[in-house]
Amino acid sequence: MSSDALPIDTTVDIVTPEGIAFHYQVAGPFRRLPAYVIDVLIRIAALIGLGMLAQVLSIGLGAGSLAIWILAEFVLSWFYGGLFEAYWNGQTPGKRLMGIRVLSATGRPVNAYQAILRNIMRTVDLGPMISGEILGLPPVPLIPTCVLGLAVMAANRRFQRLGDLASRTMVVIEDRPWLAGVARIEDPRTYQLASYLPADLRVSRSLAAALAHYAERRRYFTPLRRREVARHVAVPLLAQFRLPDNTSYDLLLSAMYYRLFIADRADDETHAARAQAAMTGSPPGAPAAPADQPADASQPTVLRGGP
Amino acid sequence: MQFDRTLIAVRERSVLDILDLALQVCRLYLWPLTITMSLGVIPLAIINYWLTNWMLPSNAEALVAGDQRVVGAVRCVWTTILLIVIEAPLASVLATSYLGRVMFVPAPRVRDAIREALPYVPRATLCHLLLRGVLPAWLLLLVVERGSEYSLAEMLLLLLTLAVLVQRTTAPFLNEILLLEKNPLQAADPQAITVSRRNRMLHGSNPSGLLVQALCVSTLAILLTLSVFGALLSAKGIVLDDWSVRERTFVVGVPLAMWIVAGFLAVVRFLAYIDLRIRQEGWEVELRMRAEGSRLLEQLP
Repeated sequence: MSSDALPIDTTVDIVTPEGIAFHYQVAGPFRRLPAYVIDVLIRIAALIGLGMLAQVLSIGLGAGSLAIWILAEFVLSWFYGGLFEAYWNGQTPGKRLMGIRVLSATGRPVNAYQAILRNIMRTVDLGPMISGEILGLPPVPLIPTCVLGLAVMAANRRFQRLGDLASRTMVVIEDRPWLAGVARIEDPRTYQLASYLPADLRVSRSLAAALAHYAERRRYFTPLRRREVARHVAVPLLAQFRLPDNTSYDLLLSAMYYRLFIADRADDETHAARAQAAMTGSPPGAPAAPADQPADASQPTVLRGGP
Repeated sequence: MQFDRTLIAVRERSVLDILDLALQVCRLYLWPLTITMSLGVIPLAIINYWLTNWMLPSNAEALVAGDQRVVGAVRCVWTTILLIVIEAPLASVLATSYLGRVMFVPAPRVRDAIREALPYVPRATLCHLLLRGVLPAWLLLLVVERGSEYSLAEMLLLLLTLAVLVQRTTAPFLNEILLLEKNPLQAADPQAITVSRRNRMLHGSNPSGLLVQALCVSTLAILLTLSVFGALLSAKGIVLDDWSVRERTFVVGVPLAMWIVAGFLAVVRFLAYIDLRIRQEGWEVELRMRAEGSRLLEQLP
């Protein structure tokens, strides 16, 4: 594996025929297992319910009720998954509960043919089957081991089992919208330290991203751990800004984060408020505090962001 | 080595995601992992054979009753299962060391991983032998009364296994701490991070999370072992056209299936360790900070 190769992960990038790129997290066998177990339980419950119904119907229909039950059992066993996935846009009840979905390998929704084929092929994926001879029964494939499907899924990056390969589908984890927040800065000393930083503070994009990452996660760390993590960047920055060596590493990074991500935003909000006030005639500065009141930065500011 | 460019994507994952990712890692590094795992498994399998094989009636005793043969086989397989459960982390010492290199080095060589791990292998082996129940398990089997059908030592072995499982649930990452963090067992400096201190840092704050993870992984490990054993039976039946199940089938097949699953679980444990460090210590933040720090130092006059 070359150093430029993508890191090992459970994600794939799909470019649709229209040239739109999507980033998916694929569901492997273990992620799919709970959904499968739920679907099996639903099928068993449905079969028991149908069995009881057949018992009731047998009073009127006689042997006909048994035929209905056998037919229902056949449909449930072979087409439960296929029909649900075809009509529920790639989901069965189990998949819906577990937040996974079947898509075609090109990123499009699955069609009925693909949905039914991949579910019929499941019988092969459950193999190799142990023969009934082991239990002294007739020599028919009886006990599934699932190792074939597991081995095939492990052998490709998209975790496709034989049914997926035959129908050109894959199972992905559904994206959930999430909120990206601006981290809170609780310590008032941060604002004091921020004022000692150069007025024209500019950092590389990667360092800005690293600072944002640190600010987002630092509240989970102990003070000792904050110092340990922040030290790598803080030591060269202290030298660069000619600040005393005993400056807190954590405070320095928080102050930089404040200057880069919050102070400028407060400036922007002030400018926007002034512009709004000029347009509506209301007193300037009323809705938003000026940028030089850092206490406002400690208020939670949540922005909606994309995944 | 660029610290923010890991070869396994670093982010928080659920237990099921970790298991799926472990399959990808096994696929990409199948042979190195097989070699490093085999180096750990083969000596232990020989020791286990020596400790348990007497429980099986030998071919010379073919006249013993069928029931006795079955009882002997069950006893042998059960004892081997307990031994493998206790020994599995010890067997995966070299594999863990290799996985540590996989994080940063593209296509690391097995030889290099072993060379790097060698200074730490005696310490890790000693820890497993003394602190994680391997040596007491062997000693218990050495004092088993070979003539009797029931032995107190075998009951104690079961209790020891349960104790080891509890210990491993609360502090599962001994190999990783010893081999990858290279933390000392003891240190004169009170500020130094020793194995026990690292253990507390890593495992102390989220015992319920570790318990859930252990239960989930254990359940799947049992299912996987049954699946692999079933596949071995099936392969034997198809290849030899022999579907009969004799005592020897279990005596050989069950340990083989367990060692295969133990190899997979070594990868799972390593990835779970990375995940725990990401959650609790912000490991991915530290990697990023180290990389940025290196860049800043290069820019300084």
